[in-house]
Amino acid sequence: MHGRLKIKTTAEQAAEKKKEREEKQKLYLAGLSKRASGTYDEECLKTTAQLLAANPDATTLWNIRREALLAGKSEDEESWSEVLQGELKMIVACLGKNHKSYGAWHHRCWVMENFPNPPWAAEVKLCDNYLKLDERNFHCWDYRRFVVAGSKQQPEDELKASQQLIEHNLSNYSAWHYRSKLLPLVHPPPATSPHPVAEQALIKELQMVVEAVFTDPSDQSPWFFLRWLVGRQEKGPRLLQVGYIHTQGEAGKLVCVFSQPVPQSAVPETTVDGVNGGAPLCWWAPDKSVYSRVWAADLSLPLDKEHSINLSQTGQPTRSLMVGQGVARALEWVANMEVCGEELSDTTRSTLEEVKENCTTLDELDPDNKWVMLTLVHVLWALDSRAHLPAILHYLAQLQTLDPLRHNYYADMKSKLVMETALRKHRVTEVDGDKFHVCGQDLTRVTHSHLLATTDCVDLSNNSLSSISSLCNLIACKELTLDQNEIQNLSPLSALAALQHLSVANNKIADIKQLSCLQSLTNLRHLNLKNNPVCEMEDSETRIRELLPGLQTLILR
Amino acid sequence: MDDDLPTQYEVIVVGTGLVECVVAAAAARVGKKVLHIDKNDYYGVQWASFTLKGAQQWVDEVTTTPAPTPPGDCELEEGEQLVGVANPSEDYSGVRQTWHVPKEPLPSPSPEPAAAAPVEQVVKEEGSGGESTQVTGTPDTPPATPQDTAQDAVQAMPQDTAQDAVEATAQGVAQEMPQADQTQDSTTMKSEKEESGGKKEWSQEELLNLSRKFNLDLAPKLLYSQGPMVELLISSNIARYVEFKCISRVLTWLGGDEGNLLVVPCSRSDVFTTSAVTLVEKRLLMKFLEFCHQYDRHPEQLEEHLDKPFVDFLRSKKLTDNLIHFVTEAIGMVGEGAGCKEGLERTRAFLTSLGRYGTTPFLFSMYGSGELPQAFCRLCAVFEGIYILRKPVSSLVVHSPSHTCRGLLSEGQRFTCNHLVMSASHAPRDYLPRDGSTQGVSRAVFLTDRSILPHEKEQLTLLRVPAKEGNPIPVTVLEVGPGTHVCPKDLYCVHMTCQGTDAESDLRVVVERLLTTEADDTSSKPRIVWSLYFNQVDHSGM
Repeated sequence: MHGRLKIKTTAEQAAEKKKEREEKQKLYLAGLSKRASGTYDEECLKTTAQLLAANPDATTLWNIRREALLAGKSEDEESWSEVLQGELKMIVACLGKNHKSYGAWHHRCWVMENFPNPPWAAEVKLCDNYLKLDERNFHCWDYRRFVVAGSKQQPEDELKASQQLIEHNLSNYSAWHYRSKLLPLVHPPPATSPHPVAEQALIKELQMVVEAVFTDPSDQSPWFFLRWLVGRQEKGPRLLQVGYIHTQGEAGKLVCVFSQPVPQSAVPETTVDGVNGGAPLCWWAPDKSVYSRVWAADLSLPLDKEHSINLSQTGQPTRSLMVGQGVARALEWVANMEVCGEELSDTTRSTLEEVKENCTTLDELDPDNKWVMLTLVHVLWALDSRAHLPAILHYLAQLQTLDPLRHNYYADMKSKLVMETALRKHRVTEVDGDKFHVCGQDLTRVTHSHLLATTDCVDLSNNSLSSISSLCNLIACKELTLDQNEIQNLSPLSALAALQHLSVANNKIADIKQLSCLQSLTNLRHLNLKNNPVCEMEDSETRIRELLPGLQTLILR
Repeated sequence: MDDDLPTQYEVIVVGTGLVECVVAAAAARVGKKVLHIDKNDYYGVQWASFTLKGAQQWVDEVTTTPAPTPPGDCELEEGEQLVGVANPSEDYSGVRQTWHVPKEPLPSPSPEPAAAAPVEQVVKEEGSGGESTQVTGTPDTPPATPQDTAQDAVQAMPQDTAQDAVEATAQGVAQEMPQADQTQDSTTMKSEKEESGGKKEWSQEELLNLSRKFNLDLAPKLLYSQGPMVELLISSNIARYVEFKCISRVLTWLGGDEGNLLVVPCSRSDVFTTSAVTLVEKRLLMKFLEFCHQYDRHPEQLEEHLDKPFVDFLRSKKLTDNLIHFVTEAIGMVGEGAGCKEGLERTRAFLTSLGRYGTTPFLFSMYGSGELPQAFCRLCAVFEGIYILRKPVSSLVVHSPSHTCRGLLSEGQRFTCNHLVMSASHAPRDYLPRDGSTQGVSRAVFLTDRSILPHEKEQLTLLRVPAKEGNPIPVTVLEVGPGTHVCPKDLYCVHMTCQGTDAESDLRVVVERLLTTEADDTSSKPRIVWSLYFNQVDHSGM
């Protein structure tokens, strides 16, 4: 139990304890010797029971006990059941000593697994009782899930139980979480729904959780549940884009972009110009990881004629990509980028609107509550991030001052929102040889970089980027501008083989070694390093020229 | 035996009322030689709890003129004189016991209304002689401050039940399980019975046969879980002699005669689950309650309100009328006329006791409030206090020149003491202040056949019916069931208390709203099986 004071022992008590310990040790050694000699008798059970009642955390003793029980197992189901019933009682005694004993709860699972007819119903009640004593006893929660899985206990009943626990104490995070696991089972959402539960249930749950947050808006448990409810569920990975990008001569790359990281095996089967079984394509991920959103393969296609590339995925219609004569790139969007708000049904939309209204009211009643604002951000985001952009940015700025410890967390959220908005706009206005730029927006990280895998020209200057690791996805990028950031490390750029222009003026690159990663960029001709600490070094120009002999222009000052 | 009884004491306490018992225990605990006597054969005096037959005897006792106790006679020293004491029974008036069920069980359990002509035992007031006029003659005190007797009743100690529950960690779980099964059985039995139509039809004979299952309080007492009495019970370790249950719900009456009962949201989980207030009200209420909890930390918010009515302050906090009703009538229990300071103080008292032993601030002692004085007596006896029941006091021995009491005379025997403790009810009438600072309390006890607001689990209910919309005086209602061992299964015990001098008329509106004496079952109101009205002089204001 929480908050118990430790009582100091006096010398007398210590002496008593010592004696007790010695006796325990004697018993313990006796038990071990029995195990060594393989004598599993009644006394062995008695000894271990005695010791475990005093210290239920002794795993070895539990093991000895299990061995002894199995050794003495009778064929008669009834008497075996009786023995196991005795075990259940013995475990309860041990739990009295420590209701958070791993060994005791584990042994209970073992006993239940060995029962010919496990008494599941009684176990559910036992869980109820232990959760009454300590509602956050995760051992008991684990055991409850074990019991529910083994018994015929319906998720509906469990849902009711979680409701009761929440009604008793709305800070019971475990119960809210349990609920979020049960609801999709009891009220599964339709396959196309972005929501975690069916609409009717969603509305009901929202009502309840909103009552909870109005009761105590400073408690985080219901807020997390609320966020789970209004949050969009990750669907399985989808192929978003395929494209062919011509680089130089006849060389080019075939690119597949997915909504979530997938292994290489998920990349569709590809045939070029109807020829099956040519040299198999060799797919690679820009960051060399096993799971990636972007997969690319080198593919050389003569430019003097048209080509057709077919991609077939099991269970999906075959996609074909036409590469025109003399064309430098051919792209096709297979699926739309997920845009928040577009796929909401009217009911859900109005429910979300209601949550928004409620939170706005709450914000007026209880100004400066971070959970209210954070939820408003999520709800507005779910409704229509573009329309609500100013409001969301306003709340995020307020949150940064209110909750300075999580300043960067909110900055990252803002970056994500800015990127999402810019990418959506970029998609709409996209033309061949496209440019993408987000400048002066205080970006702290680059999200959704996989959606820029086929983009020619990217400008992210005048932000607060310190890490650019996600830029490794920009495998088609020829011109990259990152001026006025806080970049120290350029190594993520080493895979951007197409890069010709790189501008990193006004950053924090301090070491010439940092530039060695650019050696692999055979097409790099222009490098702007103006106002970086590295420029201050003696003969920096000579050394950089030595390092990167292919450069045509190098700007250092 | 009397010969062996010492006759010299440091402290003699007369009467085993709660206050006297606390004093006796305290004196014995610090090593004083204590004699504690009571003329009755039961403990508690005005705090007693009775079996059903015991209650009948009490009615007889307070309504018949006692044979005048002879003043007794003994050797007196110079300057000493004998002063007669009062009979505490004289504090009671208007005692009326009524049966609303037939004497004997009906031959067939037919659901037709029992022809239960109320058998009344009207008690005339001549019983207590001249003194009784003083009692009934108490001026009709208006319900000045409706801090009715729930308050005086509300003080003192919990522990066992709550603690037992806690201590019943793992081992308890196993033992509890069979119990859980039993409760389930009993509920199924109950529902079967309900399905088979009709509730139990009681008769006087049946009830009297179950007499020992009753513990009917003369003065039911609730304790604030965080109040001084509870602290005293814990610090003195007397808590171990008593078991408590937490009141499980606080109700309020909303509207006039056609109004209804509502559960008052007072704890956080109540506010969360209640449907009696709107979403925004939930926030306002929680915010206000949180503020009240530590109101003195925000003097700037109070400055301009402290001398104004509480209601005005609540309005300034944007509380709706609905919430104002809950806060003033049920949580603060002050009524709408109260001042801001008083309202805040009372609300805080309520709130600080919340959550210690349950979701309401109040504790009720199992087996009735009569257990409390007895628990203190037990401690006194453990520390060598001497107890004698059925020991009447004939007169006090007073030394006139020094104005000191030197002892008392009982059954012809003289006991001497340095200090004599007795309640105002026992004290010679001449010793009481003459300005009539005493007030009257109207009380009623009912046995009913169901709860005023049935619930799937048995509840311990506190209800305060506000003094508005037709009800003249705020009335405190306490309903307890068989779970507290104050009555047998299938019955509830309802106590009503208010300030006043005529119980039946003071309580009439509330009784009519909540209960019925009709046997036929058209209304869902509980039916009264037995009732007892009485008035009592309240000396606590002295």
